[in-house]
Amino acid sequence: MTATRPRLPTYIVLLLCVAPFLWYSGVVIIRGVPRDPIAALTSWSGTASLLLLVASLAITPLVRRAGLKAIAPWRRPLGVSAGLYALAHTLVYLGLDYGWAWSFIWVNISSKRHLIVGTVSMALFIPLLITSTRGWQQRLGARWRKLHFLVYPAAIAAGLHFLWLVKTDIRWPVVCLVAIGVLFALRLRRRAIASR
Amino acid sequence: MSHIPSSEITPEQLFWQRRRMFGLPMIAGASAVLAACGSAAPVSQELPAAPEAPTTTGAVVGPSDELGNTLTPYETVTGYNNYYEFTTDKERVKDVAAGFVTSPWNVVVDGLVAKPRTFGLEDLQALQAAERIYRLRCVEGWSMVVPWSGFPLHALLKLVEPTATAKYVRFETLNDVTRMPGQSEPWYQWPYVEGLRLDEAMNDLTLMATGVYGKPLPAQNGAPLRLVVPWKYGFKSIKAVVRITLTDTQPTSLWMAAAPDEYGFFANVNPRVDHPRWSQADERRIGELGRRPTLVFNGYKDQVASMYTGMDLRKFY
Ligand code: HEM
Repeated sequence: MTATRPRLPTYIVLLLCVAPFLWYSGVVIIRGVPRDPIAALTSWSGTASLLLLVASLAITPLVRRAGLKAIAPWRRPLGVSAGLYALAHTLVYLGLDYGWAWSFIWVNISSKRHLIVGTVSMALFIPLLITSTRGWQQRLGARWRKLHFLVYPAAIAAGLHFLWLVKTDIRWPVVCLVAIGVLFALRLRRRAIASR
Repeated sequence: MSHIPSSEITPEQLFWQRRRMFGLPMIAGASAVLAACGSAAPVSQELPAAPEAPTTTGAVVGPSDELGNTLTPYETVTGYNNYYEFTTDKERVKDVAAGFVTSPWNVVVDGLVAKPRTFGLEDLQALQAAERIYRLRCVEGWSMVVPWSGFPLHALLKLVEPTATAKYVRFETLNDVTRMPGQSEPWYQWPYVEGLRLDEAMNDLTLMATGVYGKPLPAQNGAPLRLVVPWKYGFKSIKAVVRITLTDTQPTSLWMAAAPDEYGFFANVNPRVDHPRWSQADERRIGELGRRPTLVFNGYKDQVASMYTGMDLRKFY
């Protein structure tokens, strides 16, 4: 299969990764700097991260079931950029919103269940980001796959984070969580079949 | 700032300069610039022991409030609004609300009163004028400092003479989905309803605002007439009021109906009583970096705390 895999130009996936950045830059150009830039940056980076994460998880089923073999190399860059947007999201919160005031941050995070699961998600992301290079993949060998299975719990935690932070209109968080759930179920099924 | 030799600029000053960067494009006039230069009210990096700074009446009008807080620029006050009747996107309320017709406008004042009456806006113009700079603390954890103009609610209530049985005041927003498109959202029971206890309504801080920054109230801020109750979370300060009813039973507000365990009737700003889902210990002043400690009764303790003596503010949140 590797020899005949069709290739797509790399810039397409790179464009996808920076698409949220370009989109929100366009929003700023058209609508001006938001009145609450910190809230906007938080919302934008969080949204970008979750969307790219779902996109990254969707690659494998699309390759296997829909036969879109050409997009197989997209999984990693989409996942890495999801992790980087999440990192930016967390830094906006810690640095810009809270000015590194750890006592406030502690009170705030520990009092909100959506921030607790957000932190869990981010904590799971960090080892995945660090070990996302080919070098680490080779060094870890079979353990790399096991480690990177953590992207599913990370995604579920991020989806819960989103669900619990909205006030009443839960449509989008539910869509995200259902998508993540379906993708996770497909992955588990594949694992079950493989180990049979 | 330009008179300070650069050698004397401490890292802290650099920090404050950076802090103001977000504010700069939004600064409205010369007074705001002056105020911004003196705005180095520090954000406490440590969790404070429940700050309870003494306050004055808040009736002074200047470039800052009575605690020295700089006014939030006009563009921000009128460009960042929590007003679900138009849209849940705070930055877009202004656009969606543009063209909202506020004239003619009538306010029915009825219920347990000796002289029920329908007021036109012209009638209200004649009431005692007031200018007040108030801090506005949203339950979501952000805040602003806003110069309102209007009249104290007690001036209006005196005209209709509440009866001895009246204990509460119920307020209602316009209910017209053709003019307020957000009211098509099925999540809430429209119209927006809010309520106060009669003594809260009669408190001199309680304002009916018709203007902001000396200009008529823009639609996105609740034109033509809104309530402002500065010691309570912002959602109590109901906008576009069409009806004020005196009752003997506690009104159920829209938020109480939507999430009874999350929003109480009183909704007094209190850093020590958390929202069921989050801490209320701190707030972000819009346009600033970092956080400020939230004040008990939003800093209006001296004027309002006596109304709640003996009440368990944890139970009656
Ligand atoms: C330490 C970890 C995190 C913290 C402290 C955090 C904090 C926040 C905050 C403060 C908000 C704004 C809502 C609010 O006012 O509470 C938010 C929104 C959001 N976050 Fe996070 N977050 C974290 C991790 C994550 C991760 C890992 C993801 C995704 C992979 C994520 C996705 C989102 C999304 C989608 C939103 C909603 C955006 C919107 O619709 O406005 N967050 N987060």
